[in-house]
Amino acid sequence: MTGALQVAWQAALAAEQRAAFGYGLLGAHLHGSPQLPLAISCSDAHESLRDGTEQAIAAAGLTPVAPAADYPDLYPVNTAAQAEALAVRLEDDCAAAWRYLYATAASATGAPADTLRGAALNALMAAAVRATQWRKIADPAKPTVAFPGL
Amino acid sequence: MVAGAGAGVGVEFWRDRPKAAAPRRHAPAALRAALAAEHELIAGLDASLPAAGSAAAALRQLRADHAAHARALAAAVAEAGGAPAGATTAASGSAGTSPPPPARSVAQLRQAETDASRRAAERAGALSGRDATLLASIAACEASHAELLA
Repeated sequence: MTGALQVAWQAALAAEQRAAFGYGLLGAHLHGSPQLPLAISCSDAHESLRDGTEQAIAAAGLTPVAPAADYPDLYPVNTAAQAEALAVRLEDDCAAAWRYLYATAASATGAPADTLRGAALNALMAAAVRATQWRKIADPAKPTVAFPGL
Repeated sequence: MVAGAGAGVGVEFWRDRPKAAAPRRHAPAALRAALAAEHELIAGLDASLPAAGSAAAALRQLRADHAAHARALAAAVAEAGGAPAGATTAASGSAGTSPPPPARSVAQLRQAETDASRRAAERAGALSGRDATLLASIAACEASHAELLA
């Protein structure tokens, strides 16, 4: 596996770690809100993807990047509206990370690159769908983007 | 003598041929098919918009995304080997060689977006590098379209 592919894979893991943290942060501001089930569902999805990616990186003989203790750029989150806007940002950032991994894998050859292409595409598509679920709430005038991850 | 003179004429003819007559590369079939698919989606939306009612705003958003996809794909096709026959500008809808499609229900448009996403993902797998990444991002966008119409 090339160094570039390793870097992109670890960056995808880092994005998922950040998203899992971020949903923990924003979920506290959605209690009693109709958006709470969506936040829980998204949080579960990111935790699952984070854990699966970490295990796959370890299985490839690499050391998974450690999560940060805190993510100061995610603050402040004091209202439901800020929580919803943060959810959009987290999904967009994950889409960007998975798209980058896809692009790197699509420029490489070999079985690891092919496997990562499939995983990255699935994760990119899932992040784009979740981002639209949140945009329908937070930014209904523009609920989709033409090129997720760009 | 005659044969020699003829050969000389042939050489001179070859030398005088403009460089533009060199064999052209062809854009990958997956790119051309993806461009045609975007035009079909735009035509389907154009046919459905007049009776869309409360879904009109969402359909206009989808149309704008598909127009952006078509522009990007047309550029990729041109870069790879020239414009396909019958291509039109992204904003003009279908390629103009087939009759306009019938108006569709929101459920039918949603299914069309789901199918388009799957095909774009498959086409991405047939490509590499930037072209593959473009198709992957389009597949993600079209998955988000299906979500928007859910």
